[in-house]
Amino acid sequence: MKPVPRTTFLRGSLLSLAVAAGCAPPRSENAAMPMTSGKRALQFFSPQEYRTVAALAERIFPADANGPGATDLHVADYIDGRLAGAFGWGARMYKQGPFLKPETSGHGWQVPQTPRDAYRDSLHAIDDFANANYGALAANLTPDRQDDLLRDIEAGTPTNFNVLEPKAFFAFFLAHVNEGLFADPRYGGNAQLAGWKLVGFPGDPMAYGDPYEKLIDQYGVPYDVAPKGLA
Amino acid sequence: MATIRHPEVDAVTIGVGWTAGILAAELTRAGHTVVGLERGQLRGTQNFLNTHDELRFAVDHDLMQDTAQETWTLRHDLREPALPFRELGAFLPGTDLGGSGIHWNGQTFRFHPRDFTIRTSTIERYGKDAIPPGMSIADWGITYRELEPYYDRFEYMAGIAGKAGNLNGHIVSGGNPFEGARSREYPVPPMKEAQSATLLSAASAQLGYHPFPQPSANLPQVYTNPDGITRNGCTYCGFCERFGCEVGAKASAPVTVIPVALATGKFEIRTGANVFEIKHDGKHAQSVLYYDGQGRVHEQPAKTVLMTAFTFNNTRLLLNSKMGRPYDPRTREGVVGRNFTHQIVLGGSTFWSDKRLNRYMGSGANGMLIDDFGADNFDHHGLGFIGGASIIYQNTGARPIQQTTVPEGTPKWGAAWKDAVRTWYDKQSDIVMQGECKAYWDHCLELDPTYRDQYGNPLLRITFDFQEDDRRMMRYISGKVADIMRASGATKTMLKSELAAHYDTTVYQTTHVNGGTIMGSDPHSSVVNNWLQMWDFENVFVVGASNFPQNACFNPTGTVGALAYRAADGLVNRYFKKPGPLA
Repeated sequence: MKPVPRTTFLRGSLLSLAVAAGCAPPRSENAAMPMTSGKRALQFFSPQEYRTVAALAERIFPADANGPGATDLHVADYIDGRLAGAFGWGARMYKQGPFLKPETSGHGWQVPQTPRDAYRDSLHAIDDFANANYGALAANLTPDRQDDLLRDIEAGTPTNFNVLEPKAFFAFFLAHVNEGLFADPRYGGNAQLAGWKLVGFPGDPMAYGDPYEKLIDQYGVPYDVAPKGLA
Repeated sequence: MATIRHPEVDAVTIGVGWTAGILAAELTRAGHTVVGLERGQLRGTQNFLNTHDELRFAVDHDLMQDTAQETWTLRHDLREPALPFRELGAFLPGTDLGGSGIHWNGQTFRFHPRDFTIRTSTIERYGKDAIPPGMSIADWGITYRELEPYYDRFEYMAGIAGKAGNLNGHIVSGGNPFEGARSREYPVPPMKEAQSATLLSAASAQLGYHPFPQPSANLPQVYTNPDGITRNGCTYCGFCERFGCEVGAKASAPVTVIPVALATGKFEIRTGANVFEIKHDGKHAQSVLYYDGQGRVHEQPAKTVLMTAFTFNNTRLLLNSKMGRPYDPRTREGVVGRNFTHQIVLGGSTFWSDKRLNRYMGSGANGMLIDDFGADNFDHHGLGFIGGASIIYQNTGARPIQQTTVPEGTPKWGAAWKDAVRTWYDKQSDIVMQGECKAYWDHCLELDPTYRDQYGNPLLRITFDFQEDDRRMMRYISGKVADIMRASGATKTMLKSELAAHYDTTVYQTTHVNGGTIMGSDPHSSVVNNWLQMWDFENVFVVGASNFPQNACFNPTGTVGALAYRAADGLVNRYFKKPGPLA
């Protein structure tokens, strides 16, 4: 992967501004790329942001012989809902300044912007970076190139992120994909409880009224039930 | 705005969790009036009916302090600018009635006799030079023997399930042979063992170590305590850690001591009451000032002030009230805020290709452990560190977001990660190394000069980082864990043996934070005497893990509970009968 020339960043930033101002992005989009879930109205993401999140989440947890992937589990819908609510607004974050760049590791979130700000900025930066380095928006790349793109972000290569460093965003994103796979389905992910089915988590221990206190010492007897959530 | 003034009571507690609940029960039964000021709201078992929700409780910290309102700042050394924790991470203090004693795991220990005399014992066995120059470990000013009756009180009140290893000096098989002498057996037999824990405890026994059942505040059976309180047995639902217990099997103040205090008619709990200052004349506290839920200021006069908040807030309130001598890490003068410690923790997992473990059946204190490498239970000559860690094979549950690990070398994402998660989710046993955290002269709590809470009062600034002694200790202990993993015959393993470059506010260690108002036998080096009474203010008692001069290799709640009973004894049987210094 080649370093991105500075002019590309300028162009990318201006493009982002243009998009923000309501102009159509002057880039070709692959019409063959399906809108992934599209089953419910988006609460936070723009359609393009949603496409990016869905495409990258699918590479984190791809559909394969082991079962359905992040798209089937509605992971991007989960993240959309999450960012639209209290978490996205940083409702429980301490937001008073001054905001200083940490001198050492271990200080966590130290920026004035909220998680939804961080997503919006990072997703635009990712698409700009993808466009500059791989010639297409993230959602339109082949799976192999999407993996390359994720590896770039994971390694901290892009220099056009304005809120979180790429590595920090990547860790943030992985955490949210994980939640979308395995949280109770009432939060919009883990569709059909496919995340729990994959691993064999029974869900709410009260669902069947089975006495775990009588089962826990029955070693070697698997407790295989169709999982149930709280809803 | 005019201050709303209340009639004087015998005692006011600041916060209503374990320590306040114990003190209120003991004081009101002796006829004293107590007001408990709780900044959160009422809650109890009825609030936990839909508790099996990992996102809400474990990820989003539903039961825990809101850092938007009040947080802490951290610097790793005296030179670095301190930055605020902008969200919870390294520790998870509770909020609302019952405090952190609601979402705890129920792991309930006694500290070792040596832990209370760590400085003297270390010098006796290894010489003065064994203590590095920056380390400020101190004796507690109380011995295990003096505290034993109070441990016993707490354990019988809470219904701790376990197996004694030392009864009146006689070693009993099946328990912890390294523990201090107990005057009697645990009130309740141990919990049922999850298979995941037995696999590793078997390997430990094979290596000659001494596995014993995790002492648990989660009742394995119905239990009626000496106060007449009856609680249900545990359902092993696997949702203790970070959750409230919907059946009341997990001991907490609201299901044990608070009802006892309320039944006397002499205990009043006021919620939404956020104490910001203690009024005093330099020798005696007179009243406490608090904001109510509307932001109005109230004044509650009291004959005694019982500081029963979480570790940090005991120290912060003393500093904000200008009580006691604030500690200055540069001169090492003063006492309030000194010896802040946390817990040094690493962990790992073993994976078994031929097992299905049903590990979602468990409880917060459901496992086995060994103490062979805890405290000073092994010879440290030539090792370059002091102290040790308990090694815990625990089965606290198998919540899929946070309690799934994958073998060493697995990619963090993609098809290989997915395959590993699917393959190993129910085939793993977890190991935790819970290490001592030794005190250092630089590690302390002070008022932050910059950042403030929602009321405009200074936040507490923490100075803390991992030290070379910690690193050596954890390398050594993890070497022993690696041996156990090998002996277990596990298919694959994952083990962390190195601490991070710096203490990280985002990585959960434990909620075992300690110090700031430490106890001792000398007013020049401690805040409270061994009755938990302030040296400088005889009618102020500070009770909690803030009293610990440093941390041991076990969970703190058993010792916190014992200290609360000790303070209650001092108040009821000594102070109220004849007010004055108790030591």
